[in-house]
Formats: sequence, structure tokens, C-alpha cells
Amino acid sequence: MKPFAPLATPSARVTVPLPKADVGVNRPPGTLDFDRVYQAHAQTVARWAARLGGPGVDAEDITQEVFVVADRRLREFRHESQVATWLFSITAKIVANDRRRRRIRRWWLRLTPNAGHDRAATTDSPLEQLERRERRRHFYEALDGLGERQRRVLVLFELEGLPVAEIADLTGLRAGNVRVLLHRARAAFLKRMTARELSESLARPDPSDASDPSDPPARTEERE
Amino acid sequence: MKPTRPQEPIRWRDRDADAHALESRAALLADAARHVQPLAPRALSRVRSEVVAQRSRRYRFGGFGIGRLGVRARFAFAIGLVILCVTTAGGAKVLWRKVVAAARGPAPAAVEPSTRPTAHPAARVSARAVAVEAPPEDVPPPAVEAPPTAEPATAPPAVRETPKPRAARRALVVAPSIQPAPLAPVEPPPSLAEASAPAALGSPRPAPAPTGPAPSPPAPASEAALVAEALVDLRQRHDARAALATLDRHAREFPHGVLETEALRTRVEAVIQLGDLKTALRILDGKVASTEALGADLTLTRAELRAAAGRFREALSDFTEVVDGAAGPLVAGGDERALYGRAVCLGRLAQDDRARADLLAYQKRFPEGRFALEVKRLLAGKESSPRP
Repeated sequence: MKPFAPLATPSARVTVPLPKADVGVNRPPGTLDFDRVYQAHAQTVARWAARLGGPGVDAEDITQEVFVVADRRLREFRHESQVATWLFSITAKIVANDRRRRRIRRWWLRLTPNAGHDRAATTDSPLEQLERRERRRHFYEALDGLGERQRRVLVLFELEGLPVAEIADLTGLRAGNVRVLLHRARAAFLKRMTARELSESLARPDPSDASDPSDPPARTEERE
Repeated sequence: MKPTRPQEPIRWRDRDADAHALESRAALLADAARHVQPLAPRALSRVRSEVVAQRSRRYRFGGFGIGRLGVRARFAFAIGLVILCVTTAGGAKVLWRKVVAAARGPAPAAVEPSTRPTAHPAARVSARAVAVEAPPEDVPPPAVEAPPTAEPATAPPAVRETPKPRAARRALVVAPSIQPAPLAPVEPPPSLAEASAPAALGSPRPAPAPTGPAPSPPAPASEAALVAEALVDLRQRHDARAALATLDRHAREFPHGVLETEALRTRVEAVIQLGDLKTALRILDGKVASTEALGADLTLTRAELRAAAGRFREALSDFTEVVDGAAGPLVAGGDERALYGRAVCLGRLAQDDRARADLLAYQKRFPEGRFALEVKRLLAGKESSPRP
């Protein structure tokens, strides 16, 4: 199976549309088949889990939890919305719980955030892999400061590449609300990203100081 | 002209990198975060098999598919389960009682189901509770005797061998007395069944043998028949619980019957036979309207129970009424018990002169009485009164 490899150029439009299967649409209650739902939506749910959860998330585990819940509640599905909308709400809640658990675990064990594995970029050089991992970590660090709804909208728009109408369908919001949420999410994201870049540049030592003979290590040696 | 608002926001990666440097840097980060490897087919099949396995486990151990029920259905199921547990526990309790009753002895024959021996509140007081509440010594034991009837002289002088429960025997042994007093002489039980039942029903006297077949109560039973059945249960079958059950039925069917006093007397006797002196005293304390209505024998019993409970002032007034004859005619040996009991109460209340006078009167009137030895020892000893 050919792995999913989006184009790396910023100008390229990478849009992963929702599956257009007729699963769960205009069917009477109780006629949904779990196998069909699973085959149609398993990869989408795994992708949502990976992109909403960020580095360190176990997409396979989240997918399993989502479909366990879906299997248990399949008979209660009232067909008032698409199955994808229903699955996205389950996925978002489970990912939010998982993120909360991981945050508590990190705080309790004094762990640093995991940058995750970039298994898709197997053809890249190690330097490129490292650089991509760092950028990914920065993205999710800036994203962690957003609220849950802003986070979902931003991920669906910028990472999934969905139009506003589909985001509104998935999240159960109106299109105008999605635009407002997206505008605020992007502004908050850019603000946090800028602040982070600024703090990193301040913490980074000035390269011109390395050639200065009166640098602190030299003075330390003089004292010794 | 009002500017038209763009329908779709422009993504960061679609913006001009030169004009929007900040957005282009954010687009770089987003591109890096967009890399997600899809799940391998093996992982997909593993996830599916795990979901199916969890489903089968849920159906197998989830209580017949309870997990698929709604919240209300689950709540109703939980309530039903609690009710089922409670009723099952109650049924097991009843069954256990039946088994225990069958193991102890033959069940009373031909007893109506509603009059079966059930757990009466009076029977729930343990022997330990009775023994703990026993006051210090020097109080005569509450003599458990059959209450007299209106015609005590015609009663047959049959010796009654009532097998008292261990609790009753222990309570009588530890009951306050000057010395381990001899138990009250067993009085011939002038049964109300013998006095009233034959006259009321015109039926032959029930068989005296405890194991013999008992006459079945008529339906609907008359008041006299119920009281007679309780007396038969109590004095011939020696089944105080059955007697109490019959008396409960009598109280339900005839709340203000003409045989209320006889029923009360029988109930007190049954409760005392069960060893529950506290409940007996509570029953008699509730009938404080007039000692004349209570009768001399019940007044005497109440005085002894009060003395056993340490309530000497109230016991003294009861003993005085009995001794003075204000409570009515006494059963044989009653005045002896009343005189000795009053002496004990006076001694406990530090009225030594009056106590000595009562002891002397006892010695003069009953030189061969059941408390004669004790009275003689008290009068000849260093102590001038029954007060310890």
C-alpha cells in the first residue's frame, strides 16, 4: 500500500476529503453494519487521532477506543447526522481525554513532551527528519495554548485541508461560527508561535560571542 | 460599495510567503505536522479483531447485554435487582426459621398459618441484655407464675414444669435477692382455657399431651377461643412464641375485647417465659391507669419486675398496694411475696425500721414460708435490714 505522502511545498493544496461512502445516510435505525462503518472510516479516524493528538499519541489505540464506543452505541445512532460527524465527535472527546491523561502523567513524572516518530518520512535524510520533528513539536506546543474547539477547527482547516462547510458539518457548528473560531485560533496560534520564537532567540547564545577572547569560559580558566 | 467578504479563508500555505512571513513560518510548521502515516492493514485488522473481542466479552460478562440498555433501563434493572435481593434474603430468612423450628421440635399441629410462631419483638432480646440490666442483689426474683383466674380455688393442683429458656433461667438466677433465693413455688396453672373455653365453646378440653393433636380454631375464631388457644400454646405446648402470635391475632381482631385483661396477662406470662423481663415490664408500665383494673397478680408481677429493674420507689408503691389489699384478691402465696418484696425495697431505700417491721411480720405470718430462712438470717445477722 502506498503511504500517504503529502506534497512538501507550502503552496501545494493537500486536501484529504472525507470518505463519500453512503454508510449511515438515510438508513433506518439499526441497519448500520459495524464492518462497513469500520472499513469506511477507520483510516480517517486514525488520521484525526494523530493530527488532533499531536506527538506522542497512539493513533492505533485511539482508533480502537473510538470503534469500541461506536460498536457499543451503534444501535443508538439516530441518523440525524452523518456517521463521520458522529465518529469525529467521539474521536475528539477520546483524544481530549488522552491528552489530559498524558499531561497529568507528564506533570506527575516530570517528563518532557515526546516529539514522536516521523515514520512517514523514511526517504528523508536524518537531518530532514530531525528538522521536521522539531517543527512538528513547535506546532503542537503553540497549538496547546488554544481551546479545544479552536484546536479542532484549526487542525481540520490547516492540516486536514477541509473547507469551512465540511468543518461545520463535522463539528456541528454553523459556518459563521467556524470562521470566527478559525480567525481567533489562527491569531492565538501566531501569537504563541511568535512569542516562542522570540524566547528561543533570546535564549540562544550569540555566535559573535564565541570569537570574543573575553568570553566567560576564558575568564573561568584564568581564575582557575 | 461595500467590500465583499471572501467566502473561504485562505490557508497559510496558500499565502504569499513574501507578503506574509509570519504565516509562511506557520505554514512550515503545519506542513511538518501534517505528516501522518496511515495505519497498516495489519494494524487495522488487529484493531477490528480487538473491538470484536471486546464486544463478545461485553455480551458474555456484561449481564445479558445490559451494556446496550439505556440509562433508564439500567436504573430500572438496578432497582429490580435490589428488590430481588431483598425478597430473596427475606425468603431465605423465613425458610431458615422454618428449618430451625422443625429441627427443634414438632410444630404445633393444626395451627392457622396466621398464628404460626413468628419472631415476636419480645423474643429478640437476648439473654445478655437481660443479664446486663439485672440490678444488684437483695431484690427478690420476679416469680414467674401463672396468673390466677376468677376461680382459683377450682383449679386442678397440677404441677407445672415449664422449661424456661436459658435466658429466663439466667435472669432469674442473677436477679437481685438477698441470697440465692429459692425459685417461686410452682403454682397450679388455673388456665383460662379451662375456665372459659369450655364454657364459651362447649367443646371438650384440649388434650393435655403436648404432642397431641390440638383442636383447630374455628373460623372466624371467637375471642374466647383465641385466648384459650394462646393459653394452650403457652401452658400445654410450652410454645411462648406461638402464644404471642395468637395474642397478636387477638389484638388485631378484638382490639377492645372483653378478655383484654386475660390476653394481657397471658402475654406478660409468655414474654416472661421467653426471658424478656424488660418487655414484660414495658407492657405492664403501659397499663398504669389503675391497679384495680390491672389486678393484684399483675400488680405484684409489675412490682417484682420494677424491683428487678432497680426502680424501688415504684416497686414499693405496688408492693404496698398489694399488701394492703387495695389491688384486689391475691393468688395463693402472693401476700408472702408482696411482704418480702416490700421489705427488700424498704431496705434498698434505707428505711431500716420499716424493713425490719416487715421482716418480723413475715416471720410471724409465714414461719415456714419460702423466704423464711432468708428472713431469719437477716434478722439474726449483723445486718438489720435486707440492705446489703
